[in-house]
Amino acid sequence: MSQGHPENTAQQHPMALEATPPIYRADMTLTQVTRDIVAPLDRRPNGWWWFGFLISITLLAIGASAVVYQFREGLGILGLTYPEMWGTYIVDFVFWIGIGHAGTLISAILFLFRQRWRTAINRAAEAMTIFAVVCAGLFPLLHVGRTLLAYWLIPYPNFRQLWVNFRSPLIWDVFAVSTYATVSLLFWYLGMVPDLATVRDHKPGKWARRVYGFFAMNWRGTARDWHHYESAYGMLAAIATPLVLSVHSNVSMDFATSTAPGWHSTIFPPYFVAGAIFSGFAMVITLMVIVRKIYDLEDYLTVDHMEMMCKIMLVTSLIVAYAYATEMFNAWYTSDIYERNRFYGVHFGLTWTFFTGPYAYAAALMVICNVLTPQLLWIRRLRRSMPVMFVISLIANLGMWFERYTIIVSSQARQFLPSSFGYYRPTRFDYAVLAGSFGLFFTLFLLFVRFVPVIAVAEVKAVLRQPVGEPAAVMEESHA
Amino acid sequence: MSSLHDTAVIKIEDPGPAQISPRLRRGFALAAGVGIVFTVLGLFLEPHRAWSGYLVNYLYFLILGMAGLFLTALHYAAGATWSIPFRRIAESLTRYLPIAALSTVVLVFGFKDIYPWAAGTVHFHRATKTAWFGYGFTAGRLIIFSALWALCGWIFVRRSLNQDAAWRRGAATNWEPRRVPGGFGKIPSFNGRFSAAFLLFFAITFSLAAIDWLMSLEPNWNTTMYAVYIFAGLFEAGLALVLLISVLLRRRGSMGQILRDHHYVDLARMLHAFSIFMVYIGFEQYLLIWYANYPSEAVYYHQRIVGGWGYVLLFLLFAKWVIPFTVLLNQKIRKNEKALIAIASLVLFAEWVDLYWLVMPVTHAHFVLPNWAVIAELLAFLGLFGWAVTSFLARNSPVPVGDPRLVNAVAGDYL
Amino acid sequence: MPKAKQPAVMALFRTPQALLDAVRTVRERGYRGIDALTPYPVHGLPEALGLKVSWMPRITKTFFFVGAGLGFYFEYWAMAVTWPINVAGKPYFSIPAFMPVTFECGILTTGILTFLTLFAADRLRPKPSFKALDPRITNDRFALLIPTGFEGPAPATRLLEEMGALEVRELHV
Repeated sequence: MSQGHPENTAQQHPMALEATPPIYRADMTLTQVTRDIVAPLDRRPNGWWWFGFLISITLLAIGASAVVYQFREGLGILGLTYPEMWGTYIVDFVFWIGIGHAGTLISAILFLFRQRWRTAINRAAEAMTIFAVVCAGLFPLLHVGRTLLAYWLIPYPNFRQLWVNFRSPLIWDVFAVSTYATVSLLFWYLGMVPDLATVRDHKPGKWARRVYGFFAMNWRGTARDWHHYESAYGMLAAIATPLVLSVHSNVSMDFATSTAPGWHSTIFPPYFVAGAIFSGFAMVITLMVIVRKIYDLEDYLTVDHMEMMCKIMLVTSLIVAYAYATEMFNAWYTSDIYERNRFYGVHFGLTWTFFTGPYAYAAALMVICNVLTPQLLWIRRLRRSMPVMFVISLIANLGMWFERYTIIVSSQARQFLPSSFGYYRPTRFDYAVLAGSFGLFFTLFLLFVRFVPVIAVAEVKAVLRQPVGEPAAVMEESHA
Repeated sequence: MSSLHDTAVIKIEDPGPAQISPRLRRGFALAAGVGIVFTVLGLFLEPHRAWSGYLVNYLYFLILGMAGLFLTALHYAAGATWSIPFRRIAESLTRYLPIAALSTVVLVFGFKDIYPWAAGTVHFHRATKTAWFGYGFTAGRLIIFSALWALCGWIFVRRSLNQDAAWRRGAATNWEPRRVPGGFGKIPSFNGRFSAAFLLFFAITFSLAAIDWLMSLEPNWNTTMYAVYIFAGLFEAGLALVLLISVLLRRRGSMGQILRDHHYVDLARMLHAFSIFMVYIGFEQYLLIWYANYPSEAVYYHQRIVGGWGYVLLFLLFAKWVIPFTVLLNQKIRKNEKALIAIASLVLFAEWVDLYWLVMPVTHAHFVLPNWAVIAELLAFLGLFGWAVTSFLARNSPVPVGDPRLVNAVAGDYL
Repeated sequence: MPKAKQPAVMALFRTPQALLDAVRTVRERGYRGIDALTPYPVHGLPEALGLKVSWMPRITKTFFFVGAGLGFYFEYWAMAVTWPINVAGKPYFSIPAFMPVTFECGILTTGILTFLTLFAADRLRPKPSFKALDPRITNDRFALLIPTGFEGPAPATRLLEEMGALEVRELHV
């Protein structure tokens, strides 16, 4: 577009405005967008969809059976034992909450920064957020043991006149996660209303029209409606931005408010947020590489879009690397022997160290997957290659799971006195429930791509090159 | 979203060097001269107080210069369009960095009066940490860091001025990111790649320097958030200073027709966002230390709250967050030049108070106002800083006229 | 209370620019109460129609401060007034520890109330039997709606056709 800047010939001269780059193909029309996005909802799902759905449902069933078994037998079936009372359930919780953060980042922060390319991915990313929060929310509920009494976490007027302890980080979490789930859902749904109206007006079949009509909420698309709508959407984006910072910060404070070496670190809040965005973008990339292929959405989720996401992944990977380095440096710098022992194991004659002890594999995986492999994305050719970014994104999520494992599990293994030293080994039930959460996540996501426009139709239309002066024939074809 | 396409051709007129009255520059030079004389007197007569004050003032202006460097690099690395009209002002701040590097050399002579590890009142039980805080090693790395920062600033400014010169000659430069053919992605230019490398370098060196400068005032105390806290202050104060200078220049008519209301709105929005970032970092650090209540760690805030210092902390909360946040919440105020001047000045003052609050309680259990020596140091550094920045702006156009995407920025074509 | 339906004409345009031009011309000719229906928010349309700046942001900020204030007050009342319990030696009235929930209360209140306010402002409600004025409005056409009142549809129709409308239709809204 800009090769060859205008020949600058005079001191004061008009400069041609470099044309705004098209986010989507320059010849794409409104009609075509509607057709491309709405049509797959009419078709029966193809074999790939059923294949994925079957696998997801199977995983979900495995996880569900493990959960049922846990309800029968109690938490003893998990690897939890003193001093390791927070195991993979908490790891999974932090992992899934983190995944969610990319969705809010894309829909809110990139919206406020007027990044027009976000229009291609925000719908799917927000859906991913909600499903990830659903998965995340299940784990604390299972972890409390008496799941039926989990409603005690909510402050409600009760007979004993007791309230929850608002000074406890765990209650902050309850508020943060439920607020996050609610606001994300509202934001997602609000963004979807005009698109549901589009589906309502273009779907054959009376019942489908009635169902979509119900959820499209009488949307007409008048200028007045859009006027308030845009304003409300902007305000929701404005509040979602600090919200996304607060949620993972609160999660990090479950650990950081304690005095436990390895947990008590003031950098945790921003570090967790950066890690969350990193893992979230990795998950968006994983999903989008598949979706664009199966649904023929290469014109919408272009290589440029994918490259932008890779860049964000690279930046957040570097922030995470900075946090690792800070932790390591401070563990060396500090005068606190327990903190040093946690990382370097130099006291009490212990051979246990961060890199040679029983959790060394987790720590090594965390560094390799989150710091080293993402550096490949510095190379332009690699961050524009779908297979490469797909693999890197999978590796990144593996690494982020092990990061949380390292933080949560290995820190509990080295508390102050040797009587509080231990080792944690997850059981097959831990893994079954983790697999079940993936099953739940992908089941929900597949249902989403089946029934809801995966791309924000109205938002894509708003950033298209305006189809001015186009031949009428092209425009009319959809009404034939 | 893209209704500004109608204005396909926009005239970029070179506004020429900023109209800065020679009186102002002479004033800065005079302040620097008088300040330096009294600073020297202070350092000899009242070394303890004066060296702490030296650290505060030295850091304050170094941080402002670094903010210019950081914002320039961030601008290039992000390939941003909206911030082009502000770039030259950010670059002008880096002109102070060579002076800052020289004052780092001066700081080295005060190590014994400032830092317990240099005075020998604290002993580390580990050889590695003793070596880390060896006099020569610490001095060496601080001097090398500040020299390298000055060099990076020089490279950025040099390339930017060359681009202007090329534009005046009528030659094209290809230093801007190019678009991917048929897409919207950008192929980074040299500036973009250099900025990315610089930001990595900045993250590492600035964090280490923040630990050396400030955290090592209490060598047995540490927290992982520390460098991020200093960085958050740098970011907020840097945005405020760029905003302040650009508003002042525009009111004097030095920005030509280039700087428009929508640029202010965007910069004010950034200031708003980073005032939130500042309070986020500051509050989380406080909350975690307060909550864990670990004696060896809590002593940091204890020292900075008892003896009247707590009121300073309260002032910081209001000046760095509550007031900028609530005032800038109003969209109209983001275009109001007088209000922006007031807010930016408040934030800049608060950053100085923040550093004062970080340094002084270490040696003063009770709140002290800055004495004559500290004021003299402030005067000296302010004079040097102002002189460096205004001399640069008085010689060069305050907008990067050579940037080929300046038209897009003026037209608001990124909206 | 449902209002009686008013006679109107509706014109469909191909491009947002054509719609904007039409809106400006029609308003210059003195038509009032006109509305436009578009598949996406068209930049500059609210200004062309003379709509005031939306009051939504102001009300949203109020929601935030009210929600956060009530949340904070409730924490104070529950922790320090009605039944103070010593947990881990933290003060009953712990301002720093109250902040996270205060913030979340503000955000939750803002989110829900902004959403509901929008529903009220745009009169959104579940409507399975919705019948679109024209299905193309949510696809690729830009509609202009002019209430015709006593002068009848003819002048407005003529004007819209002059403006290059693809089609003009009489209806009741």
